[in-house]
Amino acid sequence: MPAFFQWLDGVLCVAKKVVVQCSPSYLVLIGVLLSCTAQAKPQKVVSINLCTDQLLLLLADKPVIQSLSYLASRDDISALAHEAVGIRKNHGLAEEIMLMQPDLILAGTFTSRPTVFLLKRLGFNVIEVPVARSFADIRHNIAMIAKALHEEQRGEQLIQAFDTRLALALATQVPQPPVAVFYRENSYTTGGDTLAHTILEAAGFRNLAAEMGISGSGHLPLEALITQHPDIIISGRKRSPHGSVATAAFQHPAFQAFKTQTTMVTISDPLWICGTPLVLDAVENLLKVRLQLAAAQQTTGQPTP
Amino acid sequence: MIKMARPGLFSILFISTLLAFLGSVVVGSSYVGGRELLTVLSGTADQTTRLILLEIRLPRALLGLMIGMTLGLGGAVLQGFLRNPLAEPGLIGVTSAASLGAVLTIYSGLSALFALALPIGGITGALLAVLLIQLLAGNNSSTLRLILAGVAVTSFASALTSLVLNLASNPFIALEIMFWLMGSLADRSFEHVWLSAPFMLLGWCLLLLQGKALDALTLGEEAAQSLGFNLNHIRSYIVIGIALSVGAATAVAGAIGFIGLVVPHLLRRWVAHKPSSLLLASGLGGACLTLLADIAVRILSTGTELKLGVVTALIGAPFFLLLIMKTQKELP
Repeated sequence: MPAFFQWLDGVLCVAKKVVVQCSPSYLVLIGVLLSCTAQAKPQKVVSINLCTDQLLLLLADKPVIQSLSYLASRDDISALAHEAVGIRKNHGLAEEIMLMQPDLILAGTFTSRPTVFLLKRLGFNVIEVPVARSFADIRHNIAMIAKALHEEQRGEQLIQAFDTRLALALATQVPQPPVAVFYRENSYTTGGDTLAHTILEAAGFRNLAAEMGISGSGHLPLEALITQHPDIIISGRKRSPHGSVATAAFQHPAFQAFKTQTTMVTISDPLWICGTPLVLDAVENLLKVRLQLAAAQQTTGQPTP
Repeated sequence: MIKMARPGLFSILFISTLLAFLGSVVVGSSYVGGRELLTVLSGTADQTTRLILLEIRLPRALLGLMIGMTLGLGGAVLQGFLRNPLAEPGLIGVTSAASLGAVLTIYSGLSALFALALPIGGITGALLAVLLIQLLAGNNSSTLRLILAGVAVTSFASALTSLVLNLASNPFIALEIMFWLMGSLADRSFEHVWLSAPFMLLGWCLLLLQGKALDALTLGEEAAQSLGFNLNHIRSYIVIGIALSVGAATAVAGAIGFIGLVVPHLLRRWVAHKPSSLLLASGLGGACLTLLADIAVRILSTGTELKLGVVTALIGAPFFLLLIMKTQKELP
């Protein structure tokens, strides 16, 4: 019976669209056919964005995944790099994606615009997934992709597991959260309204950059870093060679002296880039740091700042 | 001798442009090539092949042709009008203003809403730049003022573009802007062709009509005026023509450098240094070179495509240096 309704739905869909778009162009016809076959569960899914790659790996069965972006198996930026091994990679060009004849394409809202528009114009079913800035965004994106994949149940399970784990992490709060700051190469810092800020807050830290009024990413002058005296400095993996301009601030005598008075933490970048349930790994890693910090302060008898 | 050679030159340019155009249609990342093109022409091709050739490759080749033509023609006109060998289509600020307009649509998120938001932003930027240049250069026939006004607009627009990049709160936006600024024709569709073609065609007409005036200008401004040419009007036509054509080209593909600067120099000696004959020749030459560069982009890149603007600069810069060294030898 459900199969019949699906079929009926498909027929109605074609009829409706043909009536609405009376243009006899073959493009429109293909578009109608493709968008209506998308009513059934997609069997060939292509992702052209690093973040949708990971959500797709979490939500779909492997055989359904036809291709992922070429970044998906880079372990310095993708949290699921090992899962992506063996799956065909694409470089986000309309031509190569067309030839795969996918019935669903996942893209980010900042994936090359001309390519996304061209694929849509050619009638493909393209879902554009926005950048996640909060846990609510992560839930929203999971639900969005799960719906497109016809894996709603799996999506709900993933969100539920996420919420349970998040609640656990949030339960271990201390009254006086230490102050943390992101300080990466090129003096880059991350302020409010970002995924990194959300992760930091969930782990019970205050974000210095956000308190200084920085929203999104911005630059933190070395002077400001030292005068504000954060409890921990969080830096990403070193990408530039020693002695490069990007790392100049780290070599600065003032920074070297300051480093001894604070805690330096290096984080695993892949967990912080995309809004997936894996950000909870990042939250839990930071929670450990916070507990260590509290323990160290107790032994030295220092009051919590 | 030279007069005999000229039709020959045009047929060579015409044929090579045609070949480059065909090449641009048959070269791509997938297996679809010349044999598939024949099946499309004979009507026996399958849907996928048709879509790849007619909806992905054809608009790309058409845009390469039109943009190259625009850049070559624009360079030749400006070099002739300003009598300055370093003039290029971006000199009067149109390229940077169009880039700024386009970048602002990416920054504000408008470009995510519909495909033409970005090129429309670019064209608006270019048209605003013309108003500014006309205002700055005034009713003065001095070419120096035009150049200075262009430099001022260029630096101001570039500064604002950098400001936008600086203010981008999201690294993904900054990356998209940076990639766009490098110039590319990848995955443009017929929507882009239909939007930019009227502006480019109108611009070409305005520019091609200035041939006689440019010939007269080789004798000097006063001589040209005494021959009955109103230099103020001619300057306005040229500025508007450049803004329409180069503005539309930049709005669609981003900034593509060196074509407009190099091509007129390459062809000048073959048209006996006559500016009016150089216009069409340079337009065809520009089209041919741009198409070839865009083919090179696709052949050279194994995975992620190189950007067209990067490749034209890579080919153009050493070539230009060679040219300078050669002219130095020829000069006494």
